[in-house]
Amino acid sequence: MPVNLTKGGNVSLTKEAPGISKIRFGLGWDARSTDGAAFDLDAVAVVVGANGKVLSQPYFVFFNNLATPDKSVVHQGDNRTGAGEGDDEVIEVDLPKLPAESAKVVFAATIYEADTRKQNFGQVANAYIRAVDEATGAEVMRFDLSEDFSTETSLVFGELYRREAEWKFKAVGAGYADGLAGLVRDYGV
Amino acid sequence: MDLQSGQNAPVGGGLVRLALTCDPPNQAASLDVSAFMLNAAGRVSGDGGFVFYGNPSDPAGAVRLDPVAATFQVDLARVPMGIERVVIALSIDPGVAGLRAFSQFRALRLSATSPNVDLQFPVVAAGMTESALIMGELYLRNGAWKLRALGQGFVGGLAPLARNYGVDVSEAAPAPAAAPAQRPPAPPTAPSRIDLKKREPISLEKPAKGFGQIEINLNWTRGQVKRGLFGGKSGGIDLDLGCMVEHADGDKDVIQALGERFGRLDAAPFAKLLGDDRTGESDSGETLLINGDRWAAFKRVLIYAFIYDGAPHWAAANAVVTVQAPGSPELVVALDEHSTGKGMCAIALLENDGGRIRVTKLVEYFAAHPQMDEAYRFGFQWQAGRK
Repeated sequence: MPVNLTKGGNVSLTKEAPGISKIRFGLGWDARSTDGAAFDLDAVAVVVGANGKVLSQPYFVFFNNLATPDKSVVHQGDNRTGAGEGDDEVIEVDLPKLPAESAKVVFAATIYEADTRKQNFGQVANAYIRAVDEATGAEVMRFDLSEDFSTETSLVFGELYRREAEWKFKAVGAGYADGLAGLVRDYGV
Repeated sequence: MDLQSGQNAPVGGGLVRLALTCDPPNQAASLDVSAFMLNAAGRVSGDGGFVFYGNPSDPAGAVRLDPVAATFQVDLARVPMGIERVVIALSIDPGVAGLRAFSQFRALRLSATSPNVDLQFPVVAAGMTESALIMGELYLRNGAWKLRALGQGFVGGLAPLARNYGVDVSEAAPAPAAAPAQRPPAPPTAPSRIDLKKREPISLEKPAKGFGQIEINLNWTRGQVKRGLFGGKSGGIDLDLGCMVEHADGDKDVIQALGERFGRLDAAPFAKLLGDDRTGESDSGETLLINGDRWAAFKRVLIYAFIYDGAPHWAAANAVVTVQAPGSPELVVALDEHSTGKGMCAIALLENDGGRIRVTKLVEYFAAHPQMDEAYRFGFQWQAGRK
């Protein structure tokens, strides 16, 4: 049974799935049912150090940089419309490959061309993030972002972080009104 | 407070008034408003949860529509348990000729007001291909009602929008209440197109929602148009559409491209000529609009066409004028009698007949404006002009 998180909650992935090393993080949302410009949501993962800033630019993983140099974080590629079964975007994390100085991996999504398409998370429904243990295929954790979003154009879904020997996940669910720029500003790319 | 699409704000409790307006405001009659009361699954459950002009209130009286004012009174305290969202939609009346998308409006607006709340959601309509829009939704969040502005919709109109919520609008028309035996015989189906004949005028009754925007279109066969190296043209026939207007108060006006007298809809003369088609490329010919909601101000309108330059080959032009008032059959006036040597044709006369629009086919040819004016006794002063 996966652990269902609520905003602010956390779970020890190491305890839920002992020996877990490779994790698929799936992000999803409901594509629009109306006509008009499609929503193109892009998943982002940022590997940050103890100071809360990205380790270096290649550790900001998004549609233009699909993997870290050490392949510890690999983006499975862009789904342009959010259509199709299952997760809309997938980011894989190989825990043993993460650099020793990495304190956490932040998972977020941004809306591509949000300003010109006049789109925001207030128009997106049923966003979620879930973690699947690659070795067993079992879903370990799921967080449904039931927050009442408004004009946010990027959203931090949650973060994977180290607590001594454990890997934990915290449900965040907080947004920025200025898209990718907000993430870049906070995590200092 | 102004909302943008996707944004939300609390609406308080009690009574909330939701109003839908458009710019230009005289186009309001061509719009339909509706509300969908949705359960947690996002579907209209049971009868009466689709509120529109044919069902102006849900059974609980929580959502009540004034279709003429395009406003809803929502009594949040009366919204039945299990209803978590009330979607407010705006759509173009499919009976309105020529109006296919909101791009023909400048702007649309949803406002939500109650004693302590004033939320405004303006939508710029330019470039919009949709003909039905989810303007916004009231929704229950942690026990309190909020309004989310959306402005998203469907190119295909109200039907796909309604299907989204489990409603088939083709079945949504109110069912006849009486048993079949007691029903009067069904009236014959109104024809959608009537070919007008001379001396057989037709009067259009004023629909419950008013005449809306009356569209008068002139189309013709342009003949051989040769495109020169630099895009110039030669040959072809250029017809100009125009009208003489006489108002009930005695004011008179001429609307035509010659002299750039294009008129206006929101004020006198309440008639407007859309851009002149001199290129011969447009398939839609020339169009004149009359603000039917101000029909009471009119005494009569004489519709005419003239050949500004080129030989008056009326026979080759195969010109046809259509008069389309929303909700009324399309009236067709064919220029099926021709004249050689006369460049002006009086096509049809629209007269205010006790509030109705009486349309008479004329198709009479004149040498020029002054002769036609004299025949119909408008009494203008004429001088030569150039476009």
